[in-house]
Amino acid sequence: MSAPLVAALFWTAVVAVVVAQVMILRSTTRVLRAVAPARPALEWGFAILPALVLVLVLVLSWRATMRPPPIELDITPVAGEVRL
Amino acid sequence: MSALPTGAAGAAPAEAPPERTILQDFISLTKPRIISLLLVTTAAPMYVAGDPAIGTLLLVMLGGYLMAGGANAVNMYHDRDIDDVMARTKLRPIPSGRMDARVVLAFGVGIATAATWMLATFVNVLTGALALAGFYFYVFIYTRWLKRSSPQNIVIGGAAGAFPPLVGWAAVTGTLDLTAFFLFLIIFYWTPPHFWALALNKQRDYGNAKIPMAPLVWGERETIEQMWWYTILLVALTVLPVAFGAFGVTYLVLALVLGGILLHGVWRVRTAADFVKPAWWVYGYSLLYLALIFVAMVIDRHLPASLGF
Repeated sequence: MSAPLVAALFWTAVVAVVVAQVMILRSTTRVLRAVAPARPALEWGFAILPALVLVLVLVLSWRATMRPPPIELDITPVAGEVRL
Repeated sequence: MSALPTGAAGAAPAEAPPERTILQDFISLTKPRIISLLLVTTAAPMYVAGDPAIGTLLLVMLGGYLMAGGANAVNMYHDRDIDDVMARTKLRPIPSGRMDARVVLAFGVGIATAATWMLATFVNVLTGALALAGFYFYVFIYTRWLKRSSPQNIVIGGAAGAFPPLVGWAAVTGTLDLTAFFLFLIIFYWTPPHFWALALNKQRDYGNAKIPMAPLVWGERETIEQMWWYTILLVALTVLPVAFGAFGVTYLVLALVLGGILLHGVWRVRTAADFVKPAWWVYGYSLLYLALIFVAMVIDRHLPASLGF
């Protein structure tokens, strides 16, 4: 795939991931305020931990996406051209 | 490796206990129907990561079955009190009185130990360690801790069912990389919409067993709202590996089509006046979706380059 297409795919997916994760956190905030869980800190932790992992994964994905392709060098010696 | 799913038999109505042999009871402790999906998500990554020898594949499949089966048996031992009050689980070997609980525990621990030894000895240590980590996560983090204490039980607990691709990947490469981690995340984020679709329709059962599933604690509306956003996140995650070259156009097209169908299903749950039928549909289709998304990865990796993709 071409580089602009890859970039468009990457950023579209990232926006979808970020928006979805923010909406999940908003929803979790609403329910945690409404139901007052016995261990609120733990419930907050359960909500935030996957979001933090996602941030790490998106950063690693971005680095992998931007990494230049490996350069393939043709180092086959040409017969008769090796001189000492 | 483990099997978070506990609801594949959710649609089955309660009926008279069938006649069963002791062998059938031991096999039923492993929940073979659920493990079949776990084996797909173990085998497919092996063919994404490389070209495994048939002997390695068979060893990993056997080890994976024993490990997940052991986790399921220990789960049945631990949940024997609530299995007795849920319609879909009261016919299991312990609540129906056909097997002693201690025998079930010994069986589960025994086959999981055998699986660890087999994978670590004949495949590699990382494979055995990852499978064992999945077992521990399922038994101790999900079953013993989260299942009865948090409405986010299957969000965090979803990690237990996400170990199989790591096991398959490690069996072939002896290591893990970003693509393997994405396979883990795909199952992790697939779990909430899948299980909440079941939980929406099994609220009475879960209520009787005092399991705090999200629809019971948060309400149906917030649960369905989160199902929607988790599905969007899942579909986005399935296409991200294409950006860094892990998969090609064939996989991208298949992932978008399969994901689009899942999104449509969850949207119907979200907008229907009565969510029962759409939720059952999402529960069933999401099983097929997960299997097909992994098959799509294999097709993409092994499609002859001469086809022009």
